[in-house]
Amino acid sequence: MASSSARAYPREISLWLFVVPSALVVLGIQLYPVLYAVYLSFFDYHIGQSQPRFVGPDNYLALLGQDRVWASLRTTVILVACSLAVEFALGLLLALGLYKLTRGARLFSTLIFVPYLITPVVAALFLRWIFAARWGLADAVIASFDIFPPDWLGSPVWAFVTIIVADVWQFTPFVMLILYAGLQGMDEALLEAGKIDGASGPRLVWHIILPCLRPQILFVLAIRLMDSFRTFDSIYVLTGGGPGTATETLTMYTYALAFKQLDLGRASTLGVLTMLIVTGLTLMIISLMYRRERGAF
Amino acid sequence: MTQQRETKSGLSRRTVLGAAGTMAASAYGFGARAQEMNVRFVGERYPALEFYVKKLQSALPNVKVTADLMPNAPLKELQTITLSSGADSIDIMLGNDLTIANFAQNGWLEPLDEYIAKHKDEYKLNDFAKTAMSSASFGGKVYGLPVLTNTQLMAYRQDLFEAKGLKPPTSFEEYIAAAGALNSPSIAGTVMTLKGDGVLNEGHWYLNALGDGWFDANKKPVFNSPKGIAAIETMKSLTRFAPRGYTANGNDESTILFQQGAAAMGMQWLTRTAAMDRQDQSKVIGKVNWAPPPRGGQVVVADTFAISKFTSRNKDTLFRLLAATLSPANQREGASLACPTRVSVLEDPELRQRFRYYNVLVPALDKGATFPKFAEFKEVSETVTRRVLQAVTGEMPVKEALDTGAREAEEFLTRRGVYK
Repeated sequence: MASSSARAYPREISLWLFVVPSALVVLGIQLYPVLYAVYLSFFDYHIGQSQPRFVGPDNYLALLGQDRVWASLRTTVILVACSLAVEFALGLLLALGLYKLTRGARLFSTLIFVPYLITPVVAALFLRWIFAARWGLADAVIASFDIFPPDWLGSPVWAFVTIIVADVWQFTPFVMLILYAGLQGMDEALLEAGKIDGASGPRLVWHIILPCLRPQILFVLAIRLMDSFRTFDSIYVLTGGGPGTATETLTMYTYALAFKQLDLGRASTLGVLTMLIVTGLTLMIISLMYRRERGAF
Repeated sequence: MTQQRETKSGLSRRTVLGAAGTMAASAYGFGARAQEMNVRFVGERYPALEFYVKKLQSALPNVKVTADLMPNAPLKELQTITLSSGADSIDIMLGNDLTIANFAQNGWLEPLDEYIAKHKDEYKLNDFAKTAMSSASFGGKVYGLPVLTNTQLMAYRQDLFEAKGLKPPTSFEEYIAAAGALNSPSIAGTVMTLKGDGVLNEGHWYLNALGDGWFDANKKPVFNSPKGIAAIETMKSLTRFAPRGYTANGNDESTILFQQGAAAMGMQWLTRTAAMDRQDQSKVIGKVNWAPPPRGGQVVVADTFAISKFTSRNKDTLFRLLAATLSPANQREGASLACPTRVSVLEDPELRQRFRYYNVLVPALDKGATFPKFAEFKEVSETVTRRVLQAVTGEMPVKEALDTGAREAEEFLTRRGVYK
């Protein structure tokens, strides 16, 4: 025993030698900015100021007392909830459709996946051209039916819809791909057994497919939740947070604090608050997904 | 087999000579390039600046200028991020009244007084207009050379006005009446440019023409005075004649609206006037004319070339590069695109005759107003203009929005130590 562990020891060391350098790089890149943001959140510090001034929890108290923070949080939650719901529903339908396809599935999935490969800023610029008032493609198509087009970017409701459309168009393929991968790894015998028991399409999906896809659903919801909460580029390009302040999210306000008001202390504070919210929501999703409920899902 | 005499290493004489020749040529090329200075310029993209960038790139021999041009908002962010970190990746840049004050206070710009004293005769630097030079100054020091004076004029479709028997408005009552008379599903009565800094520029006109401005001499908010509230109410009333999506329109979108014949009237930067007559872009060539904005008070700024404090390049050479670019000859050549900053060019009778807007330029400049001259204005304006935008779009009642903005501005400026 002793001799075998002695033989294993150098091997363990060599494994650590392989892992540690890259782990240190990742920790440096990931952890340092987070810790620095947490540190800055306790200081009054704006760009151009010679020395940061320690203010304790003042930044947190000040921001939590601002209606702008709560308004941007509400906007963020609505945008995330709508985007996530539509993306999940569409992604699942597309994945099931692909799963049923006997020919051309690879070509079809590749075509659907293209929007996900486009840089978000480029995608947003493309959509801004589509939804531009008067000379945009959307206006031209709708006007061809003799219908007066809506104010895509100028009305609070339609601006919301436009941003959700941008998010759904770009990220549904990702949801589809993950769920499709899950479907391909599913035991077909379960489906056959369900069919023998007389389960129809929707019941088959609800009682057999969705429970089997639980790990993929958890993964995709958690990833998309984190991503959607941090959405910035499409909102910045499409509406700039407008009309008025209708589409100002937490990230847009963080950006305004950092780069317009040059207030790095409060921008860091809002960044930390956003991180705590996203972490809390992700943990909530995980606990919900793994809670064994009666029935199936 | 060819008979080749080989060196001990097995290389042919031809190979060795070829390699030596290549090395000599490379060394010569390297030597020639070593004299060349590479300079990076960042600025806003608009026709007049594109012209001056071309001049910048050919102003001095052996100075190679790489220019990155972009819209105003990302430019400010890039400058702020780069300069605040002390990075030397920007050598020379475009600034304006707000950014010059802000960057100079933070110690991010090179003071130019000694270079001006050294080179004033060679480049006729006393020829720059005093008002333009004051825009490029902060705290008694000069931080830039003014490229152009920029202000907003009231652009209007002369053909549409004549068809309706209207005259260019000289009061807000006339402006509202004309916007209403010309508004239709296919043509907006007035453009409104409220994306990004647009609300600051447009609000500036209303608050100066009808209100008491933004802040008083003690940096206390006055935009929420009774006159200020009435001014923003007027601004709000005009939104019913604005094009769809006006809150998402920046200067580019408003320019395109005019060019496409989809706007009858509105505030337009001087630097955009040339775009109205561009053969390849405009459907309204010769149809757009300009007048001084009713009651004046519109924004007047000077766009300025400045040198980064953190550049590793020779600053004297950079200064000479800027001074050579802004020669009287270049300003005369670029006069169709922007308002020159040299007195000798401004007073050129031939230019006054040649350009339509020159006739309204002087009265417009006389009645215009600069932004409040304190370094924190740019930052506090983010909070204030957000409330103005909420008032204009009807998210909040005007008085409530402006009062809230005033409270927030005072809190902000108190935290910054502006109030002693």
